Amino acid sequence: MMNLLVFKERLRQFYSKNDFYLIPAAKFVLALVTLLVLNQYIGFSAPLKNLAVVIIIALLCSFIPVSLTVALMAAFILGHVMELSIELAAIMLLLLLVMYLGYYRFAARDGIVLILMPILMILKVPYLMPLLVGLVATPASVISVAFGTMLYYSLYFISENTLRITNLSTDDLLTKIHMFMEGLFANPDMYVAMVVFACVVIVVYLIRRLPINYAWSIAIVTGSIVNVAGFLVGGMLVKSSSVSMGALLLGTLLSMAIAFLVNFCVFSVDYSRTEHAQFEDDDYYYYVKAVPKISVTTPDVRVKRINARRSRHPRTTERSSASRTAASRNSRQRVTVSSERNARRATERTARQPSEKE
Amino acid sequence: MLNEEKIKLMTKMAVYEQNQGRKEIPMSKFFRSDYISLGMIKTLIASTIAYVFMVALWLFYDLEKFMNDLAQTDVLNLGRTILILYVAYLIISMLIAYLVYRYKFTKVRESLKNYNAGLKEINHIQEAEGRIREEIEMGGSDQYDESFGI
Repeated sequence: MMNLLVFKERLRQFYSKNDFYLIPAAKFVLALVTLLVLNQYIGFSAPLKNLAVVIIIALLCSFIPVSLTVALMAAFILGHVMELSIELAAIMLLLLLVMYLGYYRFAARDGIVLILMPILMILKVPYLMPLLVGLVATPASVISVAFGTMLYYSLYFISENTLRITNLSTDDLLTKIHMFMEGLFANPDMYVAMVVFACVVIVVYLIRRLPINYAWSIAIVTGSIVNVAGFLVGGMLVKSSSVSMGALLLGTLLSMAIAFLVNFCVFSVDYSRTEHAQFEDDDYYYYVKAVPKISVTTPDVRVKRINARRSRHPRTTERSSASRTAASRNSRQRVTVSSERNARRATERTARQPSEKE
Repeated sequence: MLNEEKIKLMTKMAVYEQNQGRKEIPMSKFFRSDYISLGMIKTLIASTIAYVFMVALWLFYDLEKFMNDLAQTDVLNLGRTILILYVAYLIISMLIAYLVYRYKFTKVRESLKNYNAGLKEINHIQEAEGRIREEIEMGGSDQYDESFGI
């Protein structure tokens, strides 16, 4: 446990020192993975599948705000669908516009959920998203998760029925649209997933706000249980077989593990960013780099064990060289003891911090 | 001479300005009621467009059937249903918009208050600095008087 807390503290230092590079890098990787997965899944347009184009778009995403990234990704999806059928792209555009006007106008940053939800679904770990959303967002994000699920099922329909869609001639415009919308809105799996995800988000949100110890961890575990139970009950109700038991359990376990990891490495690390500010007064121009003060320092101790009782611990005595004088050994012992004590104090302080937060 | 206090304050203000401030500072010129009504008007337009899109989607979905049954359909009744649904949708979205914008405004007010207090403080420091500078230009400040025993 102590090691974990020290590790968390190190992470915090690492983030606040390197966030200038880390945030764009994380955005780049996220965008790249999203684009590559989309290319694999609905890669109809050859120019958009070009690796150079993908890298350029991902690079662009690393510098623009999240809401613009979402718009760019939506355009990317529409670009692929357009290559297959313009009518379906138009319908999807209408759907996305309704989503934007109805919800994302208020919470533009939530759009990232809309784009990542289909990606996680394609990667078979969709259960991760409601857990994470419940941990950091408000219950209003349920809408975003539901929209993301809908976006996935529309892409799923397109990728499953590519041949049928291409075989229909351009005259069958209405048939195509009817087929698409029926495939999307008459799919009971979609509604089951929406309802279960909504339940998970709300359960996780409610539990993590409880004033109890380990609220966040309990929330993740309970959310996962609700997820499995929800899909089982939902599967029985609509008698669908699209989600297999093994995939559900494995996916949930994997999602739970990732949720714990993300929670430990990102959400529970309370760090403030290094800020760069520029301003002027009558006499000077100021270029200020404001580095946040880190109130709890991690012990940078390398504990050397020099054991006085040699005979009992032959392994440690081996390490201490026999040529050392008694005086130097004594002084080293004192250093070791004090640094161990410092380490313990620091970790106790760090241990107190997250519990206060929880 | 660099005034450390002033630099600290100015840095805090600058950091706020380039982060949340970018969206929040323009809000300071609104009264609460004006801000909320402007937001609600925007929502009214957005909701209307969204509703038109939704009706369009529904029409596309069943266009063939709709065209075939057009002769038997009671158009007036259909129109009335669409209108009632529109009004219901509008009422719900306006209510949500009212709550959202009111919450936003109250939240932003807090940080704007801090920001304004900071600006005032900087102004005070600036004025004090200006006074000292004037005195020096006029021929020494109080501290020179003290050292000359006047």
